[in-house]
Amino acid sequence: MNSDQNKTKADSNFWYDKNVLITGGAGFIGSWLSRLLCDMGAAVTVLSEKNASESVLFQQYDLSKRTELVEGDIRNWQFVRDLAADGNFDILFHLAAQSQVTVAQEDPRATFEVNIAGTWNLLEAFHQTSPASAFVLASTVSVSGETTDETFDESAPLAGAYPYEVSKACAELIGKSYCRTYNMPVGTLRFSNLYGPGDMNFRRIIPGTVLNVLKNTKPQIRGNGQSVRDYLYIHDAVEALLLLGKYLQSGDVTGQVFQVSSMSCVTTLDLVKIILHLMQQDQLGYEIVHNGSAEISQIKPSSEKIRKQLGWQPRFTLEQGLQETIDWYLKHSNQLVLGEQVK
Amino acid sequence: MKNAFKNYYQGKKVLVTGHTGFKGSWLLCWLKYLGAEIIGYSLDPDTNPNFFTVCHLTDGIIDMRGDIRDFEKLSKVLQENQPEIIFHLAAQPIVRLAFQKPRDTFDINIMGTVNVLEAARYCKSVKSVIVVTSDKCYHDTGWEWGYREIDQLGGHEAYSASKACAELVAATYQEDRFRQIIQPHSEMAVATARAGNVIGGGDWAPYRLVPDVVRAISSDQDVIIRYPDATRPWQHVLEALSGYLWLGAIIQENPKVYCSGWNFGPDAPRMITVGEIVQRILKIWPDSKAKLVIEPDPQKSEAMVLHVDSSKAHHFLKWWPTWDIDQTIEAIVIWYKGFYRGHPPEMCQITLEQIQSYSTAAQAAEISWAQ
Repeated sequence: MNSDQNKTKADSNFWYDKNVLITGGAGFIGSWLSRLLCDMGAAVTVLSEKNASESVLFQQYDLSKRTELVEGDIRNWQFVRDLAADGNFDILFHLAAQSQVTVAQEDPRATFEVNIAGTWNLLEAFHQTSPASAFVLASTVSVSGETTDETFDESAPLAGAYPYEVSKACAELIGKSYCRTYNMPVGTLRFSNLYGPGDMNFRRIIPGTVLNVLKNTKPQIRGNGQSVRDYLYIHDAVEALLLLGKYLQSGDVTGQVFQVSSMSCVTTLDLVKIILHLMQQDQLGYEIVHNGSAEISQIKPSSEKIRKQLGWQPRFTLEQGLQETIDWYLKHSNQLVLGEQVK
Repeated sequence: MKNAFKNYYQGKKVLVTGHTGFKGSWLLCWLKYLGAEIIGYSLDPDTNPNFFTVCHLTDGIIDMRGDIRDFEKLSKVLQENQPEIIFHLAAQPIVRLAFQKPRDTFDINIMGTVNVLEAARYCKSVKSVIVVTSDKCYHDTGWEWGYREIDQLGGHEAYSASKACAELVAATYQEDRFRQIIQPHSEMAVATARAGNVIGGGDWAPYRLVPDVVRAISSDQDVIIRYPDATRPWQHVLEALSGYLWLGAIIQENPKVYCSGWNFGPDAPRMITVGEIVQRILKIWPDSKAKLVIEPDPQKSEAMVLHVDSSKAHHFLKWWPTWDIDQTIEAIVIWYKGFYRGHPPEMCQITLEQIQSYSTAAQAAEISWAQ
């Protein structure tokens, strides 16, 4: 604990009074990042889509009062340009994205536009107004495609099959070109599957399973349950963001890409079993909904690079993270069921 | 040779984006010769003079003007004309302009490609889309080997990055997993083509070697170059176009193999330097008063070697380059000489003769598309 306390203290000193812009700052990961930065004394501006439902967390931690909340669309060049020019930001965390896979499949154009055009707008705005500011780009390990049996690192070729993954790969390439051409301190984090308190996207396996158990219905597993994935606890992801922001500001690691993963992969089936067990509902069982796909895909991203180069490591095991997450959902179960009904 | 490419284009409805550009105009001439019904979608020609106007290419085609970023308009043109195959050439093609206009370059080259593929997806007549990108889509590691289709994509500057992104976007539409869910049109075949630096008569674009040389010669000025030792994968525009047309003609025969990325580059011996290209042009344009002046740029170093490995096209498409560098340069000089000696009315005929002589040479060389 001692070294952790020292580390947090040092980080606090670094972040105190820093002028930070977070796109997508009212979303799941954005809210956690905003809260932590506010706690450390940073001046946080949150850019959020108009009429976007703020996350439960954003409300819970009173972040609309503690941050400067700006509404706007990153596809709007003039807006983005003005925001960057007026803001004088030290660091940008670009988290805003159209990340719903189903939406991406129904409307690839909108997804490409938000995720690619939004990114080049921000890059060009910062290039024109504050080229020395650190630019942290959030991406996904899925930019390297899907069916790898082996653990893969950052050098795996870009090979996304679907619009969301491809849009992220494009955002990365454009970020890299700004870094190479203009020496801008751009860095990328590729996250594995994020989970944690406050995730209200119940189409994801972890929130969906917990909600099912709370409603006393059998969790459903689509496919065959044998797909292997890496799950990363939200606090570990936020710490990686802060770490990269700090390194970029001091000029190191410019242009680098880091995968961020727990490196403890599980099958969907095992994940559901663990959740049932932690919720002491093993007897509830589960239901496998075959979708005709016999494909077993494995995504096993390595995070050796960020561990070695930035000294990052996950602090939460899967069980610990899931326990925290379940506790949060239990505490907010009234809101959850209500929220689900509203949907 | 009107029946080249298995006679696929005879009477075929073909839509060409960027048809008023240099490469687009050559493609138009060739498609006309092959008997295709052509729909063009492009901005107005952007240089003066330009190939499109000089050769009256608007005659006999459905000549639509519009921005590739205008999805609604593009969709409407597709719906109204129901093409069977699309060649997507519309792009911001100038590397140096991309430094000045990165956002426009990304928008035109990436979202333009998205628009074409999405508009095609909702147009049931479209069976195939050939997306033209660039050999600069590869992540340039500075090595001396040619880049292969399996190599990492990516670019150091905006133009290269935009072309790498266009490749990635197009790859989504090649993926079975995505195709299965993009109803109503999952059988649409999509391939991408990555050609080298194409040269040929009728190019007047800025910041390009051959047009720069031609402009200098035609106005009796010296030809100033900064990187005389840089090599580029020079090839006549017809070489690249023969690859695109062949790919388009046979893509439906084996989509599993053909729906992918394809390099169409020159053979290694053609990797001649900028300085040599200029010298060769000057040599066969002897009455010109221009001479080569080298002004080295101490600021920047350009990548010295960049070329693609076309083994995949050799193996699967039986495609090879046809003209050597002397034939290429000769064809170029004949074209521009004709123009600058005041024979613009004959340029259409000269172009056609070059297409015919190129096709005949390909047939003699037993290249598959010409059989």
